[in-house]
Amino acid sequence: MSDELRPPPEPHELDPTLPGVDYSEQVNVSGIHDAVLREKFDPREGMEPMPIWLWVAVALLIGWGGWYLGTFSGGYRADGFDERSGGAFLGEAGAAQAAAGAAAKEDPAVAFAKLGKRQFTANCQSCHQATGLGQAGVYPPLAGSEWVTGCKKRVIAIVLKGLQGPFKVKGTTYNNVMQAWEPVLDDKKIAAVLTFVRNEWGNQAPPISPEEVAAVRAEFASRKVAWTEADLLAIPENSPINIVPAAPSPANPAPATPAPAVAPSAQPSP
Amino acid sequence: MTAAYIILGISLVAFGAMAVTALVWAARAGQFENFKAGSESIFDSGEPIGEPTDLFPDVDRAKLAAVASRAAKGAARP
Amino acid sequence: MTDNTHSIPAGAPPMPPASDAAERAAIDQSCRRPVLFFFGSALFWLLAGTFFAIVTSIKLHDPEFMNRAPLPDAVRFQTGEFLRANPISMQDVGFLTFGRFRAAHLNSVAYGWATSAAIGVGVWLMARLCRVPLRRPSLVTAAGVLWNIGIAIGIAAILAGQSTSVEWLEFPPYAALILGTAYAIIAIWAVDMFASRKPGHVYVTLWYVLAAFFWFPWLYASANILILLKPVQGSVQAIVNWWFGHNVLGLWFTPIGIGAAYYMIPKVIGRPIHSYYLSAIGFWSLALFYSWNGGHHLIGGPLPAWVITASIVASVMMVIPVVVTAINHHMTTRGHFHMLRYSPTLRFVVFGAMCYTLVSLQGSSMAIRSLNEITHFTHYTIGHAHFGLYAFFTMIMFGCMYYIVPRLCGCEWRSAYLIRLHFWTAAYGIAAMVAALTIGGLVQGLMLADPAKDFLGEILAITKPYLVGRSLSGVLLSIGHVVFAYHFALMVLQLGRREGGPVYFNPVEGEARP
Repeated sequence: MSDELRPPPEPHELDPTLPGVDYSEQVNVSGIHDAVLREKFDPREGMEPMPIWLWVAVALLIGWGGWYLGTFSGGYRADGFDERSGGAFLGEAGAAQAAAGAAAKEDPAVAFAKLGKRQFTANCQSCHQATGLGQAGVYPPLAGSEWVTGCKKRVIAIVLKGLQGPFKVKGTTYNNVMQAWEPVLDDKKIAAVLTFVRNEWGNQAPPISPEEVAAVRAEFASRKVAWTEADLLAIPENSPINIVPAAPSPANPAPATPAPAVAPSAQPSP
Repeated sequence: MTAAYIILGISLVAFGAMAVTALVWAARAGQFENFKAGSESIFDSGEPIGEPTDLFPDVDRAKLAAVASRAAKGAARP
Repeated sequence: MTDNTHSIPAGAPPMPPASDAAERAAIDQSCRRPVLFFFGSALFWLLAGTFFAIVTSIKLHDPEFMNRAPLPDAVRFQTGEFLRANPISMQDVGFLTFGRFRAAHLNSVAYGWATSAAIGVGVWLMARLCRVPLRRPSLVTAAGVLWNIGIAIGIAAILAGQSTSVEWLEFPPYAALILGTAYAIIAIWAVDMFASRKPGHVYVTLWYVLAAFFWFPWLYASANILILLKPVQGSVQAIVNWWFGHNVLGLWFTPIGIGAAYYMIPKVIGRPIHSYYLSAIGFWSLALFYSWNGGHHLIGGPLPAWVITASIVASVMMVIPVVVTAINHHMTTRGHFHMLRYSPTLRFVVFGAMCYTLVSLQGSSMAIRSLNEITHFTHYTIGHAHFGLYAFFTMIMFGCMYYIVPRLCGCEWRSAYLIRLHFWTAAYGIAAMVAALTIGGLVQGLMLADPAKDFLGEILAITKPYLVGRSLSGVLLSIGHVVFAYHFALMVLQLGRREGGPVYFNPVEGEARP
């Protein structure tokens, strides 16, 4: 603890017979060896200053920190969520977005197309993929599928009730389960997403309207299980969809009946 | 809710104040002076310098002493 | 823990400090029961946490592992659909599910292992550095018992499905309350201990340890109150959560870890620290910057940009204390690197100190937005967490235990082979784990950033080998843990070497050994 080098240990301190002595730190070093070590020992100051390069590095770091804080702080606003805005805040940006949204609303066809794409991304893409090609052997493709571009009633029915068991698409048989979307999506969303998949990836088929979806939903309201291929083929191809005029308003088309759990009862055998 | 914010504020201020107090105390108590003594304060006067206090149970101390003195010479050369 | 008469006499009347060595022996002996209790329980939770970890890790690449019902191929990765299809089987084996095992792993290693070990090491360091025998050792032991009860209740609650789902705070409030009480006892004890120290310099390690004992209850209490007991509004909870989550590492494990390194490296080598001045700068800059860091976990989250930016800047500023500490540790060890071959403590501690530098610089870089966008929500972050908590902190704790336990038990480690086996399994295991997760995480992050990549088909398939590699490295770590726990048990049972006292300090014995 003193500033000088410590004196050599007193002999009594090294007595290993003392009870309670911590043997582990008991040191019996030969005096010669100790002296050699001591000679080589350069007394350190404990006050080695910070190297100059470290001071420079610290200065640079602090400078960088100031610049970064100033540049990416969104103006220190409580509502400045975009660090790159630098002064344009969510309030203003939000207003601009709302205006753009209003402009887009003027064209219902565009809004309908956007709705379809959004629904596809949110609900369908995880299985059928963004490419619409599905996954070989697991999920059937939508691109070029005869079911997608074919009979309107059948494709609406598939989305409403889901599928189970072996199912042949473009010559390949898939054995899997598709969930029923009836309880999840309303007529407008189903129509939008069907219109989207019928006209994406090179598919070309007439659009599907929310009224048509509502009619098919009503027609099969009593069916509680998913379709099998045979059941589906029993629906006559291109049979007409009887739209009940103006009964369910298209603005509020979804029947609010609490849909029974449409748990696919059959497990696909892997 | 408001109580939570008050607790938060008090604790932030209190801890800032404690940090500053600790720093001031350390400076006044001479903790930032005589760094040499500070750095040596973990050694007792009876402890030799440069002697390892922990070894594998199978280390040959004679060999180690030779290695250590070689290392010390090597460090002294440049 | 047996009272043994032929080691350091346990029941002997306190010796007048005839010499420094006798004083040290009295201090070590006063620590014996509480510190060995903390170490023993820490190792128990380490083994438990390792078991949880292995199962969790295997479930990541093999979801059917330890699940009663096999998952159908098509719905393997879509738990929602699986739940709907198998509502009963998942409940049956609920406590074996990934969500519970992962939380059980995190909490048993973070609070059961790392914190118990940190308290044990911290208690011993405080007694050594205050230069007085432990005051009220039975109080410390009682806090240890309470702490373990809290952990056991908390882990059981998590497995029973009562986790709070808040990361790092999964223990339900009733378990957290027990833990908080236990910790508060330790904190008050630490202040008492500090107040009764012998006059003289407050060594830098004591600064770190005292501050850590003080910071952790503050963090733990604030986070539990603001998130669980009296919840603040949504997005504020997120920032409180990550302020806590990061500060458990930054203001609790880090100060104990580098504080211990500041003691062990000079003590083992027998030379004072390179620059005491630098160590003071390191401590105060860490205290200034670290508590701001948590916000970088929320980049892209719904928080004001300046909050996150301030966090990023503070995270990058952490380079200052880290580089300062790295210089200090390196310059102290320089010229003595050959000692790594001969001292288990130094080997573990220097490994940990080097990893501290690396992991901290990695952490600073990960806080920067452009890198964070790639690495966040990938295995890269998990790799970083293990790098910090294992390669840095756990290795230093192992090193400290190798130093402290012989001094408490009065006998020498039984086998150099077991120590070497422990070191190399731990070193290779953690290196392999960090490498697998870091590389796998980067690949995963780059692919996730590309919208054309197919998640199920491509990304999962590519990351799977890395996850298998992680499980294998975990097996390596487990071997080390079992070896160490066995070795520790031998020491506690007084089965270590004892020819004439610890051999490594008896030159005659050492030379006589073939």
